[in-house]
Amino acid sequence: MSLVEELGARVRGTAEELPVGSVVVAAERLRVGLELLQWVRRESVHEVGVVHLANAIEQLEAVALAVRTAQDGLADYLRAIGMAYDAAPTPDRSWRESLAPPAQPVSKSETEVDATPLGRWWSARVDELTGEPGGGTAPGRGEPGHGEPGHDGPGGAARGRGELGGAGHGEADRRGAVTDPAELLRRVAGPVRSADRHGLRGELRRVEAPVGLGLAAITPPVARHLVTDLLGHEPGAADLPELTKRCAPQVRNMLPGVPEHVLPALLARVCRAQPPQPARRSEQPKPAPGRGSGGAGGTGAAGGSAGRSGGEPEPTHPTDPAVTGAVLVGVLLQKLGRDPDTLRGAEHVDG
Amino acid sequence: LASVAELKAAIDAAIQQVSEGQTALRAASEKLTEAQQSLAAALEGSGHEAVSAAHAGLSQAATDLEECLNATLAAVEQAQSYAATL
Repeated sequence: MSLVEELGARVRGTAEELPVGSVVVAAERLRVGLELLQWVRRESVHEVGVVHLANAIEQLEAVALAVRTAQDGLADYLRAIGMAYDAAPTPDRSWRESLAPPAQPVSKSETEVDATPLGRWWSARVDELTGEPGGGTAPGRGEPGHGEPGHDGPGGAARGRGELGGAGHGEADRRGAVTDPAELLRRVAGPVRSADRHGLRGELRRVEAPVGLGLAAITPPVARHLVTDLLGHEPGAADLPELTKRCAPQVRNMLPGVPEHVLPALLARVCRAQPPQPARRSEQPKPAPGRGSGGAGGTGAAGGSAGRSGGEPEPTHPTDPAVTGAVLVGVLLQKLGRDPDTLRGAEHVDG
Repeated sequence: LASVAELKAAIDAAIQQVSEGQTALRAASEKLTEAQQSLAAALEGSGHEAVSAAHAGLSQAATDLEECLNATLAAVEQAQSYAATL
């Protein structure tokens, strides 16, 4: 290997190791946190860190842009020294990092979530999204029912019946529940493949709310990876119509209760395109969208406006992008004829 | 309106997500530092415009990353302060 070849290999290795994936992972986690805090602020009318977190996500967009600038610079340099082959872009591997557990487990003592109230909130929203009325039992799941469609706040249905703090009526059966969003994503793919809405509801309601909400952080990079394989190229804004045409019917079939704007916003993020203009409060009878995502920086991380002006779009219910993203991934896996286990780890993946 | 328990639970869940994000941010910061050092050693003496652009991009990314992390810390502090008053 010549000195130039050795230099080229080193530069390319450095470019490949730039933390694009970590930035995407961080952006998705922060965005889920932002959506939750936006909900808290809407309920409490207190500043709870929303502005700071929205700023953080915008900063992360800038980070992504700067890293890509650096990668472009290194690619240009490789071409300039005659290493055009080494300058070829590397595949987007951020989806693998998104499925990996945190590098350093978060201290439980500091972040242990009391999931009980959120559990009812999560379950009630899952019922609404899947169009499965509370009080029934998912076939084969042995699940007590829960919830009353129409509530959009944490514990809405349960609270209405004085169940807060109780253990029985509003609680989903957590037996066999997974604790890892990545595993939940794989499990959800099964009922999506067989168009089993009852099964989908059962898988989703069984988990603790933080696990389910974690889907929102991991699904966009995975969906982008799958869409890339489906289309044969990295998706962009021009691919949105076709992608919508191919995926939306199945997603809506599984989630008849999902607000209209949620899937377009999600697909826009997957394509790293500007999200469609969300509905305003006066246009939408129920709380919904307004996720604000898909910034030009490419992480799709930027949250919506942190302001609360009269024309502000309704905040997205944090459950909606989580569940919709998981169903979208299931639909994409089905279209590609892939087993959910292909998402299990790098050693199983073809990407 | 939501109950106090629900608000606290939502804040806890948000902080958990942000904490995981912070972990990823710190990992990204470490990788950026390593990349800067590696490139500085490999490309020392190069006056190529593309190399300068790469250095500038990495430097900007490191600065933005630090500001991002600080913003998340401020967000968590504010959220925790509010939760403590509930």
